[in-house]
Amino acid sequence: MTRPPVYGESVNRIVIPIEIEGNQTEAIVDTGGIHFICSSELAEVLDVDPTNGLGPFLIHTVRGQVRGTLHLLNLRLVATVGESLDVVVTAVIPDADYSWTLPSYMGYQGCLDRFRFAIDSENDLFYFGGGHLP
Amino acid sequence: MSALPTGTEYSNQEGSGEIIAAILAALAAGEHSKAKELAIGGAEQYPDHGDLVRFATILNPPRASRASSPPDPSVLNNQDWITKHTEQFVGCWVALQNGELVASAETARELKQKTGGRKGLFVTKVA
Repeated sequence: MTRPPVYGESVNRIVIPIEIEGNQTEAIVDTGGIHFICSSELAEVLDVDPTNGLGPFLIHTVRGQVRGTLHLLNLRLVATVGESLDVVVTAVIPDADYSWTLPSYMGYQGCLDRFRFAIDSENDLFYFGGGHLP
Repeated sequence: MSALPTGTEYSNQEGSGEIIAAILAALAAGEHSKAKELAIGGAEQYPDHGDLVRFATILNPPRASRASSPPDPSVLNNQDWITKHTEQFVGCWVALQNGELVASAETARELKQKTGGRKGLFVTKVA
């Protein structure tokens, strides 16, 4: 679906449902961004093991430089029709003392480039799939 | 601000420290393709260097290759709930199931306590 990512904004973004460690949440598709980014608070709720990360160090994100850790994260793209898809992505989790007020973002490199996707803006649909071209 | 980490030590095998420093500088500058190439090259050059191998693994995850589970149309109900209740719950953490509010809280930790860490819920902060 599409909607503004933050209350008060007027520009719609693509927001898709995902699953991490057995819990569902949602993330904004950002083809101009990099990696998967989620707040340390969400990571804690979703039981992401903080000791599995590399860092902390400075990482450039959609919000500029943040201090955080790099992780390999297992995401499930939750399908409403067809089949859901498991994807391993590069994730950035900003440090707990860094206030990440934005929703989770799915950037291109290390995340969206790990599977195929297509967008039907007229019908508000996000298609995805894995596998290799024949 | 330095691109190099403080409080984090990496093993330094003959030049591997320079590669790691270059990876960190690239990450801080937003040059993630360069960071990935450096990490892959470094891991090939030093296959026993745990940190370089971890950088290469994390920055170059495998491509998704198979679909694995059935669809779940109920997630749309949860997203619809967020759209309809954004103004009312902005700034709050919420746990939903099939478009119904299960719990809400001011912090993520409080929400987790309220739900008892129950799996299968839709969890997000209403931004």
